[in-house]
Amino acid sequence: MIAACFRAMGTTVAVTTGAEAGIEATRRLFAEVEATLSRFLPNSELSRVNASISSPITVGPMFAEVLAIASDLRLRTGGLVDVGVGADVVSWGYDRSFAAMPAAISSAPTPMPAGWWAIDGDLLTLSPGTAIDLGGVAKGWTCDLAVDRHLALLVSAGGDVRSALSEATVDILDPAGDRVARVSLGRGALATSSTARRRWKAGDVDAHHLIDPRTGRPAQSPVVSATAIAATAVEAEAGAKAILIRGAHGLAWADEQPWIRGAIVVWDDGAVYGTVDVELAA
Amino acid sequence: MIRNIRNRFPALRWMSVVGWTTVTMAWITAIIARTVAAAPVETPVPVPDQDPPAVLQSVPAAAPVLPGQGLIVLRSTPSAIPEAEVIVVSAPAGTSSPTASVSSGS
Repeated sequence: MIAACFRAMGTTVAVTTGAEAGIEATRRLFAEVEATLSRFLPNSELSRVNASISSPITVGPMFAEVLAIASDLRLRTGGLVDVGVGADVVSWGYDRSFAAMPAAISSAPTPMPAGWWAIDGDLLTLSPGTAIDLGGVAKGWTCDLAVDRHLALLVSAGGDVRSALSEATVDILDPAGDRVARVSLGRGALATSSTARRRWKAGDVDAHHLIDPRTGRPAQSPVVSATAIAATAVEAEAGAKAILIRGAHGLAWADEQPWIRGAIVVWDDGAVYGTVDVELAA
Repeated sequence: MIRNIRNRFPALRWMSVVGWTTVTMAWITAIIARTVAAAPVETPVPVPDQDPPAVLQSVPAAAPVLPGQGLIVLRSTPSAIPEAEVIVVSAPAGTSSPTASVSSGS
């Protein structure tokens, strides 16, 4: 097997393949998805859609496919994972890549719930003022695509892991970098979402990138890091975010979801809890 | 009165009556003492420093709601959570069996 890393989507992507060509093919795939779905690139399709004042809008096949998945995940998470929070994310100051952001903005915005949107085939309908942010979906979806297209055996990108290896193990790290569990993942996916990084000051409010669509504010939760295990990375990523936003009820909710195979949370005091179906490795 | 009773018994018989009466009294006293000792003793309840209901109410906010199938406590010792981004990746190259190890944390 061959392993390599490259930068894409504002994070480090680690790829394990059976052939060297798979590394380059995976890198090209990430670049292609980022060029279409990034809200930080002014010429991306997403930027054009968010700048458009007409609705409905016809979108390309990749955009339509990701939005169809996002629509399904919004339903499964009870609306807690909603790509319609784009305007909220921008109003809180996260309007450029995190590396280019200032440490603080002058004041906190007036919070507003996520905007309404719907996708029907390739036709996207948006309520006025609604902007799409695919940051919580696109990365996991690209990891899935690389494995499903047999470009890679394992892809790890910014906390999202998708594996086609029967004996893959994943170390779950807390925000301090200490290992809290080693999970036998095998063929499947796992994602970790955290509010302990990508933080900044908005006025006197401690802001972070995870917006609660119900309030339009950065999620308030005793959980600082949540990990979900699922069949695909895009599901795991949505599951982890929903667990974190649900806070004290997150694990109990995850336990009831047939599409979430297990979950681990790190509490704000450093305690770590998991559901019983998490397969821990030695 | 004692003399009247004593006159009814010969000397040896009288000693026997006194002896058995003493033994019987001691036996009854022992039974009563044991019964009293077995009875529950009401001890004064110490007054706690904190109001117990307030302590119980603080528990749900500090711990997760228990999932239906139960919960694993992977680490109970509180530890400081500094802000950090850690992505550690390692995958064995050239191994014969399909294995890999990566980390997930953000």
